[in-house]
Amino acid sequence: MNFKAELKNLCALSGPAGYEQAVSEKVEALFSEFCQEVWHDSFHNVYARMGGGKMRLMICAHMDEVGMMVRTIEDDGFLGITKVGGIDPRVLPAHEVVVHGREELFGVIGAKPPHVTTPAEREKMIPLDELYVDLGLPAERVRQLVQVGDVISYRAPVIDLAGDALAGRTLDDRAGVMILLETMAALKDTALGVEVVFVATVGEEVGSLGAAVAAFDQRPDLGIAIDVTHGDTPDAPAGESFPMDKPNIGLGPICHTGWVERLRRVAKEQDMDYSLDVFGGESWTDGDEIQLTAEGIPVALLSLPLRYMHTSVELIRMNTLKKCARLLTQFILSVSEEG
Amino acid sequence: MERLKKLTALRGVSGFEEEVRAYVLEEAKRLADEVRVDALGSVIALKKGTEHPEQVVMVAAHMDEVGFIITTVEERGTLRFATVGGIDPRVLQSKRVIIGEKRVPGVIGSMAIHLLEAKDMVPLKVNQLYIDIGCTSKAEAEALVKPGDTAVFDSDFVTFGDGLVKCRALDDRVGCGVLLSALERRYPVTLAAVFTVQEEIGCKGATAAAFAVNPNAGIVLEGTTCADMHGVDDALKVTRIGRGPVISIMDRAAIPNRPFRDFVTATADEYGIPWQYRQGAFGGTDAGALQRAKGGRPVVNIAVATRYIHSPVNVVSQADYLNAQTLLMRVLERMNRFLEVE
Amino acid sequence: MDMRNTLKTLCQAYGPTGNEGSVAQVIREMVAPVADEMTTDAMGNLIVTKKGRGQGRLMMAAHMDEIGLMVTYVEEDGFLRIDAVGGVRPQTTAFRQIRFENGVTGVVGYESAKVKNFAELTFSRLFVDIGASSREEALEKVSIGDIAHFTSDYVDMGRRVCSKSMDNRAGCAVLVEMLKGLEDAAMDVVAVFTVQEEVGLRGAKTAAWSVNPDVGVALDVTSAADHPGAPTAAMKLGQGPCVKIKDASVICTPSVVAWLEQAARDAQVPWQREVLTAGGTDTAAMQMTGAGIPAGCISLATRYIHSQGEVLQISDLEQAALLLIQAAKTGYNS
Repeated sequence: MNFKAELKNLCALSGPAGYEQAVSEKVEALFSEFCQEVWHDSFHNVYARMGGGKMRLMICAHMDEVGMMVRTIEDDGFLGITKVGGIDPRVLPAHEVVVHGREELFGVIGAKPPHVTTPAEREKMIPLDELYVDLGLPAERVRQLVQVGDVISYRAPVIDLAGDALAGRTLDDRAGVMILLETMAALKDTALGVEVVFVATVGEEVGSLGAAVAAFDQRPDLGIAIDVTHGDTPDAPAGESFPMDKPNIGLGPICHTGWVERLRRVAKEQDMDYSLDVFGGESWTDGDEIQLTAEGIPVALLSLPLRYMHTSVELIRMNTLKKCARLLTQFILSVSEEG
Repeated sequence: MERLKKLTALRGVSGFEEEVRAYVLEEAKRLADEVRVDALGSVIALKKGTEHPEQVVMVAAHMDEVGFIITTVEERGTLRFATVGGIDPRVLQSKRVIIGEKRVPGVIGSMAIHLLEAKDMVPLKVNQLYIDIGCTSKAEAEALVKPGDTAVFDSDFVTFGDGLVKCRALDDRVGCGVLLSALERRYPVTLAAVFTVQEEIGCKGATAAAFAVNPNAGIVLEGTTCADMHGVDDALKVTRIGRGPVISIMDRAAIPNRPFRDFVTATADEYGIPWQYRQGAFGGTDAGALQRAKGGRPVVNIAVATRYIHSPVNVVSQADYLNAQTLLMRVLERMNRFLEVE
Repeated sequence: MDMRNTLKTLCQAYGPTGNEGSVAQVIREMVAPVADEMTTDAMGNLIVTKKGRGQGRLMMAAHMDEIGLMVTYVEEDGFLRIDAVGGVRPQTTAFRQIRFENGVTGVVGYESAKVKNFAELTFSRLFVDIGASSREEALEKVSIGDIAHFTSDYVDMGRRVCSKSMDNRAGCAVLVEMLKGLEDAAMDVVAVFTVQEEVGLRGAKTAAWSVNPDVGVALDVTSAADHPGAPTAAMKLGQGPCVKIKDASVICTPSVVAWLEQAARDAQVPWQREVLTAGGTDTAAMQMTGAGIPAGCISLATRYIHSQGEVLQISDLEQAALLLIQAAKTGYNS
């Protein structure tokens, strides 16, 4: 399998929280390439079970993306919007989008030209409720094609940049789903002494609905959330952003110290470099919900550094993605052998 | 539309119009009697008149577009840049760009919203933004990009909606396209088609070209501001997409000659071509330069209404573009009547 | 359908968050003739079951609680200090009349000399005057921790009505009338009148766990955007019940949205879609319960929410009840 090509295909699919079905179907097909037992639940979480043993690991990455939704249809055919997940409204002026109405419609989010704004206004962010999608259609046609509540996604390809860098939409967290897939590919011919349930989850961007549902259903002995973390950029604070070429192991109150130690030990044994993503409260990943499921579930976090999170130019390094998959694979093998 | 698509695929940041010029030259040589490039880089193509070759109408469209110029390659491989022409910095964040002749792809980066405090949610200034081409070091980046390289938005040609087109640089490739079509015919008067440089940074090319051509009258072809989006008061909408070519009444650079303007609108009415006034007086075009070179002469603007001008997503109506072509040809066909009265 | 009287009775009932017992009693009496089973759980949720043909269990939830004020301290001179229970704004609290469960009434005043800018008013600058002139006298009437609700006349404007506590007695009224009109449903309907929604969807969470339905639908009010200077949104009075797509707490399960919209078509009632940028409803609590419950919401477009003058249109409520009856009749298939 050409993992990079598949990642690009996966990223092209639209799946804001609540509307992940197309992504879910694609992921189910991809999981089935490497695993016999693949299924989905009514929320479109996709599961793949490998191995067997006394212990059950649940490893999840979320499929949903940040997006937008039609809030109003104005008399002149422009669409008022609201956000689904944490979009920075500052990236939206002059952005291209796809409105998922009765058919897929190309649109642009316009901004008023300078002559109708004051210099003071131009110093300020345009608030979300003053941004509109322009479909270039008369209002009556818009009303035939679009309803309030239709979802809107960024129109942007995933492009190759220098070296092994990729930039585009929804790499948060489709890149994580690809880490699951590469791990499954690496383990497909191994008889595992541990049961591993890989889950591509829904609804992470609006509160990890999918992870909560999956963890309650599976009641694993350990839950690992594979997500993205902030990559270092010239303007990002140190300590909250991390080198782009290394996997990150999460270390915070919600993480189970024993399992974190185990992950670090495996990395050391494999001579793999990693960053420690230390945080004080919530992790803002599926891990938060998994930990508080039922009688409580130990949680560990493995993340891929990504720049420009929640924009249409999210940037990752493909080699680092592969390193994350390798660390995860070695960790599973370690648990499989030693328990 | 094929020609417009070709024109928008070319890069031509002000001062660096080579790609556009090469295409225009090739087309002009095929269509015109005499073609030259002036000292600043504008292309001047003459098509001799059949009846009044001494009467010269200069029609100008600018080849350049707004964009970026790389100023610094940083240690970590990111690029700092300056804007060329009037770009609202609020449209820059998280957009894709293409840099230099090698067309190196990059993205305009900025810190993720998660790392920001609410009070810092203000639009970023150009000097706070940078281009990320995926390199990890200065040496790696310098192999791909050098300071002085120009960049443009990465924005493709899309037809959508009710006969609309989205692309970058439609301002003023629409003008270039209309002018090249006009060169396909011959008129009673001489047509001096001038494809100018450096309009976006002060109408520099047109000033020199008007001096050299010294025409009897001038017409400026433009992509012009359109503000018919939701939330704008009707009085401020200036132009509306799909309502026909735009005739300017006044801007900061020129007050078009009233009799000439009336001649153009009367021609449009006679042929049933829709048109609209530009209901606003801000901005400026090559018309100012054309109007006041040497002894001065009548000028008008014929423009195509462009939504989201100077952003990566210029939007124009195909019908407006085609009607601008027709109107220009009709005006040139009978231009001698106007010049004789003058 | 007697939506007008049901709504009026419910709106006047006392039931601030945490003290929903009297409202529950009123509802019990209303639905007793048609209910197959009625229970109250540990939180105080009233759970009313009406059996259908057993093709799955449908939970409908409407919260009974209303916003209110809690006594936190009694001054030497008999004035009560208070804090908000639920989303009460200090600016809309000043000068309003309030009433405690035992009938003691008072009026809210504020420290006029200390508050220079009314927009910056906080609860610490508000107090309640119950006519007492000493701490002892006041404590004979109320205790620390007592909760008052706001009072207001119920005004019938014709097509539209105005009252306090439309949020969410309107939802309760729809559920009551739905239960009365429900016959021969495919699904067993469990109507839950929930508690403590205004402080974070607390009642619905436990109720959803114990009811463990196949699908959940919440009933609540939503902000109508059809008055001068309203924030832009699609919801309007008189355009039928709103089928919620999202609010700040939830993205409704798409298959539930589709089922509710089909029910509206089948019942031949108008409906509108709701995308709310703020707010939260019991829908979120149901969806996230246990292994997850597909959930949606029918909202009632309401003006001036959390004021004493909440305005809505009776026909929207009647149509909401018809829509829900149809939904229960058809049954939900995921």
